[in-house]
Amino acid sequence: MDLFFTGYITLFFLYGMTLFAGLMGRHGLSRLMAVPALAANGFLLMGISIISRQPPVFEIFGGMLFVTFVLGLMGLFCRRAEDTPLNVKTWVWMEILFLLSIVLFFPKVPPPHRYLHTVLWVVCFHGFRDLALSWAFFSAAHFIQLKSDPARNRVNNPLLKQGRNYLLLSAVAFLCGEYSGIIWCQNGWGDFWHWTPAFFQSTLVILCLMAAFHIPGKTARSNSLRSFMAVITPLVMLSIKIVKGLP
Amino acid sequence: MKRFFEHLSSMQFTLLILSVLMLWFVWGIFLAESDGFRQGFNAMNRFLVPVWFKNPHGLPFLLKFWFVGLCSVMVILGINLVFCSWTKFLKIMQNKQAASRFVMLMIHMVFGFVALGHFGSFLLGYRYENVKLRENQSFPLPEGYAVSVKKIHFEDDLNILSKRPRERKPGAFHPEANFCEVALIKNGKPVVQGKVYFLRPLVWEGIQVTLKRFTPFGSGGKRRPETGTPGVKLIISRNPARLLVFFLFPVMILGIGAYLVMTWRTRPSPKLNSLAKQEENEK
Repeated sequence: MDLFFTGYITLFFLYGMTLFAGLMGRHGLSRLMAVPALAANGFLLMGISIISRQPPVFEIFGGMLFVTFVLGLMGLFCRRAEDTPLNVKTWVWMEILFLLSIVLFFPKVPPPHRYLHTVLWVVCFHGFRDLALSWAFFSAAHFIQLKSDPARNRVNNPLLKQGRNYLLLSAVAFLCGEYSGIIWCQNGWGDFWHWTPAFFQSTLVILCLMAAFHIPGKTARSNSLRSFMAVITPLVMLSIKIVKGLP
Repeated sequence: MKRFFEHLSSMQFTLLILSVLMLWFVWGIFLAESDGFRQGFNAMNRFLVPVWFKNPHGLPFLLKFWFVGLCSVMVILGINLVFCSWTKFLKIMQNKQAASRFVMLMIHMVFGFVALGHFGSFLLGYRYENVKLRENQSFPLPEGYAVSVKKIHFEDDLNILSKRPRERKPGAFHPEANFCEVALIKNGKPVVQGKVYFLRPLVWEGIQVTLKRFTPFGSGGKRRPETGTPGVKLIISRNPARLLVFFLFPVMILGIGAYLVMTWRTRPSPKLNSLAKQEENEK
């Protein structure tokens, strides 16, 4: 069996066990299981980088593993209370398994080396986008938890604040990616933007982020709408990544 | 009248415009992906706005409608931005708001200029795409300028030029080894000369010469091998709005970063705590 496919299955199993332990209320064990899962994730990323001689942020396999690695790190070091079986951490492990299940439909081999994938601005464009996706999913985990929190309608719910913090961080990373893309486009096509589906898709993500930050009010209804936008945004980002990764 | 201005500067109105913009861009994605309109968008990339509307056989009506609609919604967003910023500016002047509010105001203003820069890029300057040139050929530009190709260096197998980039084997083309030497001429006198590689254009006084691809010599077919020196396909552009966006975009990112640091709170603020207590008491 292929080494990377074996690694992928192992990763799926380890993250699955991490989630299972969390759902059983064994939070210490869950944290312990997350360490080998992250280590395996890191080794797979290193393997892809070494074989393809480029950062693992381009195709679906490498890109998703990068996203799950960052998301896993956030989940491991997340300091939110784990007093219920369903908490921010368990939502993070579920998101990771969801992302890994998408990889199932794509080739699980390192991509061939390409000159373009070693150009700084191209690497930054894809890298920052993957980073933005990780943070947007981490933010979404907070907003999903907020919906199941009995004190969700409280004005000062910390979940709301932390979710907003990470969504804003995701926006910063996404804009850094966009700026790298602007430089790439300027050097490659003589102008900093073009009327292309890729431009429209990027703008759609920015508009989703803008909408999430412009929801007025601090009422329960506003928070529901905010949570909805915060969950939709990473899904839009993910859909774009999947569409671009289609052969 | 006051209520009307309040409505114009409200967040509800912003959210409404953003929702309309989202729908407009989703429609744009479908248009750009459809075979019937892809050529229209390509034409929008090749030419500046006046050409889109001058030529009766230019853009399809639906594309013109989409573009005018987009501009209209952006103008409304701009009005909302100006009114909202003015209201916030007044509050800041009255010292009612924190420093983070001032940073947020700056971010909004910079965003407005970045959006204007994007619009300016298809109104100002010029753009010549797919300029096919061979060695010692030149292309005239406005204001007495011309671009001349002095020498073309192509080290790889010429046969790969007749294949599409996706059909080529990985590593068959070496971007660092293949380039062309171009000279920018003004009124018959060369003003600058340099090498143009892939993703490494020649820029002088705002005029950019970008290498798009190498073109086959023409002697080879599918069965006959390519011989001779290939030509180049260049993009020659001048966009005065470029510098504005290149400077302001990172300013906007830094501003958002600064705002995030200033407002990063995991613990509830005392002000919100009292609000929460008040809410609980009311219940």
